[in-house]
Amino acid sequence: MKLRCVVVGVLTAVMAASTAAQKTWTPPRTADGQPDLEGVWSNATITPLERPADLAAKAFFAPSEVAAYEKRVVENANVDRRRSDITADVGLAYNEAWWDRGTHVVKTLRTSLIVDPADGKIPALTAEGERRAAAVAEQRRLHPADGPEDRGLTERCILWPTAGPPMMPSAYNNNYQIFQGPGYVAIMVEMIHDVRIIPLDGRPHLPPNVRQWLGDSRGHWEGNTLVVETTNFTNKTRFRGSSEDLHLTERFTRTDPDTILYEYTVNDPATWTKPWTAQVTMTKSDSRVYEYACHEGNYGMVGMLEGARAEEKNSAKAGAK
Amino acid sequence: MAKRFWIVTLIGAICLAAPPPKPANYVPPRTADGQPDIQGVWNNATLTPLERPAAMGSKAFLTPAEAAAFEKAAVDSNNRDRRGADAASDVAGAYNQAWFDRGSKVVPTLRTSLIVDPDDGRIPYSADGQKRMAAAAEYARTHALDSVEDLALADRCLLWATAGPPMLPGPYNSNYQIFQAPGYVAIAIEMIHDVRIIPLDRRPHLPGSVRQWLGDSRGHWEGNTLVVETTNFTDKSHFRGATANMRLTERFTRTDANTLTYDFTVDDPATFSKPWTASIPMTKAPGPIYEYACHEGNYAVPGILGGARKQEAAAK
Amino acid sequence: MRDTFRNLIIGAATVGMLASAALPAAAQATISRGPRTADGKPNLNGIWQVLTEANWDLQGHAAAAGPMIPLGAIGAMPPGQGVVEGEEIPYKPEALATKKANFANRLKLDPEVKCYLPGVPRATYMPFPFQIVQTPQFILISYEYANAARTIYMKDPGPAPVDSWMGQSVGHWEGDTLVVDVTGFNDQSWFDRAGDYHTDALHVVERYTLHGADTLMYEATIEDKNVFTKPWKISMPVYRRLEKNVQLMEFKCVEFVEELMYGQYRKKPANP
Repeated sequence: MKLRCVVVGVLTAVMAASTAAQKTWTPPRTADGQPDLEGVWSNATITPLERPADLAAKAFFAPSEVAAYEKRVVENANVDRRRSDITADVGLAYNEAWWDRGTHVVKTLRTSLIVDPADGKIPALTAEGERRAAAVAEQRRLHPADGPEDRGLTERCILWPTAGPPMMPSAYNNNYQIFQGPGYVAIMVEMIHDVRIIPLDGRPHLPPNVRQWLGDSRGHWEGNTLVVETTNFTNKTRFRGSSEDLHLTERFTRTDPDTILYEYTVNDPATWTKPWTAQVTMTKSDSRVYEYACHEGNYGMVGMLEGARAEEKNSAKAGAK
Repeated sequence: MAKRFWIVTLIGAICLAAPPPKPANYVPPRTADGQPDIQGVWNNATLTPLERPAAMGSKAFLTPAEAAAFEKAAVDSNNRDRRGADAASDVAGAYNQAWFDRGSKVVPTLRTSLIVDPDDGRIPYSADGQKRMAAAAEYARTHALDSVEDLALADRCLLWATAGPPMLPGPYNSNYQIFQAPGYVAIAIEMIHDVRIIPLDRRPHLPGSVRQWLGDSRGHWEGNTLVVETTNFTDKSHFRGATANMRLTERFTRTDANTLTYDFTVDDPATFSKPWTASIPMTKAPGPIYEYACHEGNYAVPGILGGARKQEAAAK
Repeated sequence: MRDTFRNLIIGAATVGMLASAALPAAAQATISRGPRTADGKPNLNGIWQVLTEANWDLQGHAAAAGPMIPLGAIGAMPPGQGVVEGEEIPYKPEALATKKANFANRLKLDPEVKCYLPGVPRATYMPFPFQIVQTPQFILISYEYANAARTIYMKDPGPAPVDSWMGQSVGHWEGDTLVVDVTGFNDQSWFDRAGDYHTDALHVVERYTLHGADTLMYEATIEDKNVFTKPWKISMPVYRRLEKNVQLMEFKCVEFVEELMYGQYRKKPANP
């Protein structure tokens, strides 16, 4: 009895100590004095952006609930369980070998990536945001594949959500390599070999008439947190329906040797009624970043467009009969 | 006896190897980096033709009286203000005299040709060279105006004979401005605002795979003479029928304050049975060099070709 | 006999020695990269080239597809941060409309398409090198593009006798900066591929200042009362080409545009 209490006590003390250590862990420094974020990182996670409906009131998992939740989610997502209907099965495309959504919830144990608003959901759209979203949806409905511009940015091999910014986990290849040099932080994103080179010298943003898919980023250190402000987005990037006036703030804090806490705040009054913030934990990877030659192997686009044209021809023939 | 023969031969060889004799003992001033100074604006217009006219037979030099008569006659016959007898030939005369600037004098040596070697003052074509020239003439005769490539390089505003190289006088604008800086001589040629920038540092020529309209020039000083070797010509400029393998050697010597003596030797065994040399005096001119924006004002090409097309259509 | 022979050889040798002695050592062509010329001025001699995208568009711009679909990415416009101080060219409103029309019709109207002379300052930032040959009385700038060239008169020759594409350039030194005043332009050239243009009232003042051995800082102030509400300025570094044995090569582009400009006049084939 006494021994068990002592053991429990010791374990508690150890856990408390390690938790305390996590709170006060000081990252090493690069040669020019920046907190060290370098290395290969993965942000794969099964935690969704928005809190699922059946967890509405629940902001955090208890540690004991995590394993069961992860097992259930991973099993449900497994596409090696094919569909019995052939069309639906083909529509699943890839089998499980291709996916890499992750197997764990975020280390913070939150039930959503969104931390603010408190309900874990994206705030309401403004009237203009709704109008824009409706217009986009209508366009997609009427013109699903008239040309490459009607397909998504991933299918066009232009931009993946893993690059963003903000940098969101996605179907696979959720990998990043961070490099630091005097006055710069560079984030290489596996998909699509985008490199975000972020100057730290306080220079102004690009002129307002210059718009870029990944916007234009400027960084500075606040203590051990890298703060990155990004503006100058195009009106085609549309992160979750955002406008070109999106102002994004990202914060990178290395909380332990194997974790970067990545937090971002979306500020776009033209689209959402208030700003919203999300957090993803990035985990140290012992792998490498591979070359993702998307466009060079983009047979998908040709197939989709040719298929659409064939379908039109078939239905025209059918109509003519 | 044998020894003297060899001495004479040795001396003779040394003398033949020396550059051609220069008049007087003029010593040119020097640029800041020690090059003989050949800078300034120069003009090479002259009434002396490149080749000795057939009518001159074996006459290498004119007497002063003959020269004066020749100049008067040449200026007279060149005068484009004497228009053609009828309207058609008058229009075909194109420019009147105001536009021309062929010069009014023969060369001071009174030679009957600019060519100084061979002695007959004529270009020494080989049999192959003659055949090629005849074939080109025949082609030109039967395809005079099929397309822009059939027109003369000057009409296409690609290259004038004043640029060459070698740099021959033209019907007008035979003007040059020479600049010198450490390690370079630059010759700005009025037509067509070509600039020959000649490095003096003995670097190798461009690779043989690179061909240029004005070739690729390398220079060095021998005494007071700038010697320029040019290779890497294209097969499109055909100087007097030469091939792309033509090798040109030019020599610039300031022989008095107002004269730059310009000699050039053309070597192309595929076209000429032996190298041939010409000499043209360049005279100090007041300048400035004007901008010759040839291509920008080239209304002639659409006119010539459009006219040919119209004639064909009318003939049908 | 022996004396005569010896005298002849001595004579020949003396002639040989005199001939070679006349050759000045300095003229053996070291290309000087020293900071000053012999007359004490900053040494601008050399081969130079800019690295900006100014020739595409003087103002800041994102990348964009080009006007020729078959060229794909080769014909696309690269992005540029802009070289205009204050970022915007101060067009009069009606002139801005002309610039936009120029851009819409640029394949037909940009003189660069037809290999016409680039004018000043565009010649400086064409994507081709240029060579400066500097003498006390004249500074020659020879541009690889279309073998454009201009002579900077270091002694003012008076007003330009005639308008021209490259204008008339008159230079003087202000301390270590070469200031070049260019007038006498015609109205034919453009400033870039984006349709920025001028009339024959154009007046350009350039400033060339060495910045270390291998960089020139270049500025140009542009005014044209017919087009702009006030003078405006561009600036950019110009870099020395450092390759061994670097030289200007020929870009005689007239030949390359003959099909474009005269192809319609080709004799029609007898049996099309």
